[in-house]
Amino acid sequence: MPASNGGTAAQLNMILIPATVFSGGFQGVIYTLDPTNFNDPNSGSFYNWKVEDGIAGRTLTTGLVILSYRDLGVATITVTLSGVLGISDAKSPSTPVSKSQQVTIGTIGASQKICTVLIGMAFSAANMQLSVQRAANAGPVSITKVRLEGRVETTVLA
Amino acid sequence: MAIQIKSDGTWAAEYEGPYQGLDVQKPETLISDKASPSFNNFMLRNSELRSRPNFALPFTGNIFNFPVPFPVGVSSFLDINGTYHTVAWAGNNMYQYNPTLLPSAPWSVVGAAGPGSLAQQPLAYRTFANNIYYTASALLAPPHGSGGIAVVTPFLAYWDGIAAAPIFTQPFGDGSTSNSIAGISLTDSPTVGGSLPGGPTIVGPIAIGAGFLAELNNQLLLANVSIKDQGNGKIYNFPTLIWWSANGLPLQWDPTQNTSAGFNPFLDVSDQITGLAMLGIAGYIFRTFGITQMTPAGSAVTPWEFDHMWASDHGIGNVLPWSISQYGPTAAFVAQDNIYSLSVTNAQPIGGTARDAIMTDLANCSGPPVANIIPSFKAGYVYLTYQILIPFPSFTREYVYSFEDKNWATWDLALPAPSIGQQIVSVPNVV
Repeated sequence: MPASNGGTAAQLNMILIPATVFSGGFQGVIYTLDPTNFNDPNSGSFYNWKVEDGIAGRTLTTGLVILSYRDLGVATITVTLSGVLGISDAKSPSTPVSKSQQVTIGTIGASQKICTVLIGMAFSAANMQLSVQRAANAGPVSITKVRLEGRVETTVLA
Repeated sequence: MAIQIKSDGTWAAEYEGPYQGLDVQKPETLISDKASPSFNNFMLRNSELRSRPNFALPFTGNIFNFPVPFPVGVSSFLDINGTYHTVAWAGNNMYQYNPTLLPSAPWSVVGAAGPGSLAQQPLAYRTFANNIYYTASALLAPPHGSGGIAVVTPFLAYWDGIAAAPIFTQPFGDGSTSNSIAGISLTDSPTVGGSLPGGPTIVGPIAIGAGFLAELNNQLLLANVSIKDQGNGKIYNFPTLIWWSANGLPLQWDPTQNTSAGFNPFLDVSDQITGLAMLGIAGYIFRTFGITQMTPAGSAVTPWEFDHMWASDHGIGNVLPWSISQYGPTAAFVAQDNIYSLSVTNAQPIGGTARDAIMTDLANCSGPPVANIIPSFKAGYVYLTYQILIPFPSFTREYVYSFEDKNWATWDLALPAPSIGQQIVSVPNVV
């Protein structure tokens, strides 16, 4: 049997994404999505959770965001609470409001353990939404659980 | 856990997996606390919200640099010696992964891939009997919102991993040679070509190529066929025609020489063939607005039974020529109204609560989207997903469907369109 023309003893076993780029000239290249590195230096990430209206028309107040994460290494994230203030009508539209706080999570040792950070964020708004942003090259992030705690207006409006 | 409000006026909400993914089909206040109205570049695997894997050039310090900027396919196959070959196509050539070249670019030219340039259109490939076969068509009508129609000299070629170069020519007993291993001799061309739709006057020899390639019943199948009459240089396109090789003879495509080879034009459909999937004993020929089932009939003269599951002007079909993909008994594709998975027993919509976002982006894409089912990102890192890559001018958006969790994630890759064409002209693949 004639010998093979090149080749390898095993498959590469990886996803390959051929593409065309301009980098000092037009080039055909092949990318991969590398599951050993969750810190893309060129792309940020964000996650918006559902909008919580609690009791319709009432203001929610948050005091604490409790965030659990897996330690994949040092990462910087921005935690944001947003919502609206004011009961809207044609004369007094609701005002969008938000509050953000930058938080550093994880360790250089990347222990892979699930850790928890308490983030004090005093914020009041109706229709409150929690978001997390990670800037490009801001580190690997893996959130396992988030808890919001606070108070809500319970006054009967009618 | 949905928001909990206690009688003392305190409240709490907890968010944790497993996640339901993108939900754009309800107001943000009505979605599940396990869903998101919008997110990007987070992966939902194993009930964690993890920043997605790095989009990177593999092998540190190394660029997979093809001198021609449009790689149109990548795949791998096992040759008869038990050696794996990872191959790619770009420009006029087939390349092979060659680790001995590391740390330089580890791709070496195997040889000319076909009779001409492969242009900017995804190649169709299929391994059969330890050879990799690949084909390109002259024309495949692109989907909405895209540009850059490729015109490639139609051909079918193969490489066995042993020969010095791929084979794309076929010599015949009458001394003629076709520039495709799927060819018809000079002598037989007027007869065979004359029976094609429209009854063209063919000089011959004929070179046959197609947009899609598959195998069933030990026969190679070409679909959305183009032929080149090498006698006069004319190219004819038959977007609803399927052509099959003789049983067990992938170099024999002439029905006058072997009656188990032949072709069938679906004249009664209003669209074009946009893909193939072989599930179990049956093959499924996808058209823009329909699906045709083909089953082996056990006869050499009439080897197939064809049944249009529907042949209406509009219906479930594969609207994007390179969206259809298959993993074992499951295929996935994009239809006009939803994204579907297809098994031997049924077709099931999987667009779910992300459907409207996906369809909006598909409608606004800057080039033909491509898709594939990806079982794993790397050895040992399993994430069975259907991934649709949608090019936009300044980035590439990837929709990722997890078959296990039944959720969709959105990933934006820092891959802009170069000024000379689109950024992706190849279906991603696990090799």
